Amino acid sequence: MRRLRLKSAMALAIPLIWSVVAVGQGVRPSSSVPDLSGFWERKDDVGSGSFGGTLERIPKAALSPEVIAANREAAARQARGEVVSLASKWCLTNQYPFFMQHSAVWDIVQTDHEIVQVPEVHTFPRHIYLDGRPHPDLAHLQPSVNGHAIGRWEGDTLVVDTIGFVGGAGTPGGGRVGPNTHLVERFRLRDGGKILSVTFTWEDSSIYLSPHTYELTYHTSDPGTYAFEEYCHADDPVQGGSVVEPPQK
Amino acid sequence: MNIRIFGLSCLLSIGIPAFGHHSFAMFELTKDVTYEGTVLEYRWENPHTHIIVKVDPGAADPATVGAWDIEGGATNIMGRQGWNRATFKAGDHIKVVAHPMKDGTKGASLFYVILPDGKRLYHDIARPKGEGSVGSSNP
Amino acid sequence: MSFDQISVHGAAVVTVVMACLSPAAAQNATGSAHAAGSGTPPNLSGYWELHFDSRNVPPASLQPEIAAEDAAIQYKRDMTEIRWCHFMGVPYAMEGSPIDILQNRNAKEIIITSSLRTPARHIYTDGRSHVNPDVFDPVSNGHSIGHWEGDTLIVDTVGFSNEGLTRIPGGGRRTTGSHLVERYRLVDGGERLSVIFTWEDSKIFARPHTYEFWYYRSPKGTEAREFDCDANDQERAKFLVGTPAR
Repeated sequence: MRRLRLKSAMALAIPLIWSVVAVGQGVRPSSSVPDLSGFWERKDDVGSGSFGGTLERIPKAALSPEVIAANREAAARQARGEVVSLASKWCLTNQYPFFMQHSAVWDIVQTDHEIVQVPEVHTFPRHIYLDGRPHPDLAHLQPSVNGHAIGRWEGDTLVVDTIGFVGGAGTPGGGRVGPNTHLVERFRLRDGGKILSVTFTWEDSSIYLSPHTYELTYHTSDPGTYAFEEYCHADDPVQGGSVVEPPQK
Repeated sequence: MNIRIFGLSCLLSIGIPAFGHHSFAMFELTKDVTYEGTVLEYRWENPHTHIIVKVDPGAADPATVGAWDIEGGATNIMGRQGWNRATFKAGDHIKVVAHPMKDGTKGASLFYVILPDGKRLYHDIARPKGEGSVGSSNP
Repeated sequence: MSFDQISVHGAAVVTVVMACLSPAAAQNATGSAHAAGSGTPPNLSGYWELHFDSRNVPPASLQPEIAAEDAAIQYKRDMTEIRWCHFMGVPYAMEGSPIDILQNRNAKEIIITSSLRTPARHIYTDGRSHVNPDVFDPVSNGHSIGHWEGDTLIVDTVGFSNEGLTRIPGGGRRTTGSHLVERYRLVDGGERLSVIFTWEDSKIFARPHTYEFWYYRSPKGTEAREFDCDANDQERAKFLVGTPAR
């Protein structure tokens, strides 16, 4: 009877202790990690003269010769005024990391188990799982525009590992995203939480000769900021048009 | 003359391969021209907001006389810079700084407008060379 | 005290101490535990899905001219919206399954996402009011503000556009004049989520239209999906807006 009582007590304690350790490794409670939540927006801190200029400080990626040639050809066509992509005419879904370099705000909502980045542009919210789950094995990985993202905290830095992109998007610095691309991001607050620094490191031996790393910074939006919806109507004839010189009267 | 370039929102193609959409190559982005006149139309819509501005003869810059299509951005981009659907209406006086078309047709890419109190409403996050951001908010 | 009494008590003490330190003890894997009357709102975060028995939707009491409308018109309109990949908006965004609710740790906002290519719902719980309608651009999800009344989250939404799938379960449709009040409450020990929807729109409904969904909590490890949409897919377009072959 004494042994039974002892065994029963230990049988109760051990699983609970184990589960605490396991959960603790996968999920860190809110009180111990920074709060990244809120609306974030890019700002032109130094005066670039144009939106394109805001991206000029991104270092050029070390690209494979094939990608360099493709970029040059596309740039030349654009300079001639040609259409190089009909993605916008058909309102196709914007792929990651488009909204991270766009000027529309995006919203972070943060729980202990998941962070969601919610952009305004027409794409899907990006889910970052913090509960310790691994990436699915490749046989079960469903490619997506945002990829499969898992995160963990290293001190005050959220480290996010993403694979499983559909591919086709571009990155600042002239790179692009492919189905085998691997992305590591580091999210960190600065300046008392007013600035969010995100460092991107892209790896893909078919695109980059070496990992392509750059940092973008975002400013916290004004209190009371609310999300807009960026509607896109492919059936609207205006969608495919741009500047039209008015009648000169 | 109609000029149609397929596009959507404001992402310069430099450094980004053929996945962005609107090519700003048709505008002289390093040139700022001031158009001062009357709003004929204020179209608050996607993919681009358009302000049709009539500059009358006798303008400070004779090259700006005529009717112009000043193209802005998507409503969420401009809304974040302080614009809304009631910011302008037909008949309003307007002073707008924009980047003209390279080919001389009467179209331009909006940079900012100067309101009567001197405040600037920018199209997007870009600011003039040497000037930092003045912030943005919902209308 | 004997040795085994000490051991038993010791194990019990360890158990109690670890339970107090464990976040798992404070809330379950998706964060729904909440002590009744504690003053802390329940945590609705998690993935939630509709099953075959999730809906209690009585017929709406419609204005006569709405009741007399040809149903084919609404049907064709909705199929056209799907064909052109327009945002679907509310209420359809709440019928996509599963939905993912994230209740922000700072209590200022709740997000509801789905697998559809339609904007996430933002429910602002920071005490703000609705935006001035003179400057607010109506959107498919409307503008939502929320507050807690005990264990129930009350969400008030106005500012809807005409975009997307406007048909409402039970009849009627969403318009720019619609006003929606929702009541979210955990039931069944947190394993199910009750959402009561009440629509008001004097042009559509003869009296407020109310229906209820009970969402089931999705299995642990559920992940968001992306159901993409390509308006340039001509075969898809023919399927959606064409007449089914006989």
